[in-house]
Amino acid sequence: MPGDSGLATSYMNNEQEKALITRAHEDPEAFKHLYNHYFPRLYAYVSYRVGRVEDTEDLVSETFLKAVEGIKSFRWQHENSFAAWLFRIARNSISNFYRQTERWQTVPLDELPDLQAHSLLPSDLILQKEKFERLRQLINTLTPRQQEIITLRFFGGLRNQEIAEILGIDERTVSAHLCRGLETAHQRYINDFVAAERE
Amino acid sequence: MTLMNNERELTEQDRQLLGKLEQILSDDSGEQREVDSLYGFCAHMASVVPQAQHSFRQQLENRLIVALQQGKSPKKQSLYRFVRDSFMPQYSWKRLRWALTVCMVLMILFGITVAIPQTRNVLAAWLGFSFDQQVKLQPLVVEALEHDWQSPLAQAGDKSLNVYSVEFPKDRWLLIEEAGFLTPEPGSVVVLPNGSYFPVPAYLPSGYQWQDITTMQGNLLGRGFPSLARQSWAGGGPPMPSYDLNVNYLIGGDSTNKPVILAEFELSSQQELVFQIFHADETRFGLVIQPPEAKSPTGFVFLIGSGDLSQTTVNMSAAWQYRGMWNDRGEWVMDRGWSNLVWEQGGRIYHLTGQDLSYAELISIAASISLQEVK
Repeated sequence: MPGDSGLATSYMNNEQEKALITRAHEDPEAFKHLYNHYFPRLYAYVSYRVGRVEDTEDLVSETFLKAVEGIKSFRWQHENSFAAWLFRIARNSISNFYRQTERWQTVPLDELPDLQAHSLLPSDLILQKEKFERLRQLINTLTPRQQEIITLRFFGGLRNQEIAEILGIDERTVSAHLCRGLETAHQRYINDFVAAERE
Repeated sequence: MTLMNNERELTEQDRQLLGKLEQILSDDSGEQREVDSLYGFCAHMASVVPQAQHSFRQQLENRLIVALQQGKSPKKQSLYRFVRDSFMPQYSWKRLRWALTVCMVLMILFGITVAIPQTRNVLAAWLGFSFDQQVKLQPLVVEALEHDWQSPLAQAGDKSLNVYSVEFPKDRWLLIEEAGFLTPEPGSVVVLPNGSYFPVPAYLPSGYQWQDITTMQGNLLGRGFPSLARQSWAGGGPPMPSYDLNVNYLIGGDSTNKPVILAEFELSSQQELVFQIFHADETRFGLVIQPPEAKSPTGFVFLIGSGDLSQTTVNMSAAWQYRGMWNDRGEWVMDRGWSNLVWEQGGRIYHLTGQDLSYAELISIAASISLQEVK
């Protein structure tokens, strides 16, 4: 199922989502369902884009607040149009954020978000944070478009078709950028980290 | 084969990778895999997922629910007031009759305004702009078009004027695809170099994207010798009054390079000058600025041919629509599919034009500009 990507999201089919969106502006319970469904994916996506937990929380809050303001006027168009709409808001917020701050920064480990982990050992948590920052650095070496597509696909849990809609390009271009980006990132990962560790 | 086509080419290996990705991203086992392989690397990346503190998630949920409820209550109150004020037994008929009379008078006035071209222009002028329908574009602009904007305007004589112009590349889609530029996001607000905000319309027809923003600012006289100002030239003549003008162009298009362009015009104060706006030869946009002739209107004047200027609405406000643009010989052409929409919003004048776009599509784009951001 798309959108799972290791992210703890609740299952919801199209009809259920459509019904929730229709009721959400006047029924807090309906909105809560949508919020809980999309929160993990949105949080993970924004984290990879900005890194620092404080900035992530600001941008996630801003995105959902804008969604609250706009949900009454949102019109269901097709499957996943709500996801595309929500992530487009997040992407705009991130773009505005980067217009006001330095383009990319290395973030100290203690300012990074926690990671989903199967172990609760403190040493494992630190290791996870290091892996996260390493991947973030790696993704940042890619072209802006590849960065967007990989983070939306892996952490936003969006399908290529939805990403194409958000970025205003066709699905085939998304697929090509995704493959090229992953190949480049993998090669750099091997060269920069795996080879270095073996030495 | 072009670079753009190469970028879209999918090999058999790519197809396998895409198929495998579906599987990797659906697998929530957290299983460790060897990162030496590409698939293993993808699985590794998919397993490193940030998660929020529970307290933050809960606090945000509470905050959103409050925001949702606050957003609801004023509307309930106003509906209640409307019902109470309109239908209380002791006042209902008098109030209703009064409201109907006012509505009818307003509708008649509006109808007269729309029906008569002269009053239509008066309404537009009151909003800060007007239309000048001509058979041929003025000679100085035609000369500039013919000489690719390089020619000094020798025949301008002793007439004071300044001209601004911009020309957009025609093959924008390929340029952007090749360079991988960030493009203006629909629904975002772009902060321009002078610190002002430009609201990017949230809606675009399917297949279109916003591609770039170009700004023209200033008081040419404030920059010294007028013809030194970028993207402009001087027409000579006696000194002109000072003015302060901001013009921004938001450029968009589809993969076949059919353009859609939103121009935003803003004057910082009322100035006794005429700002004649023109669009020529597909991708050329500009203004001629000069003192007004006797009794002619000041402010923004759209130079258009003898076409089908008619009135419509954008966000419940008056707007004007027409078809066509000037060709490079200064003749008005209506057969190339150009539609135009002009309206005022938040103290700024907007001109939206697109090729092969319907009026309905232009109005949808215009209506998706955030009113809040314009203020």
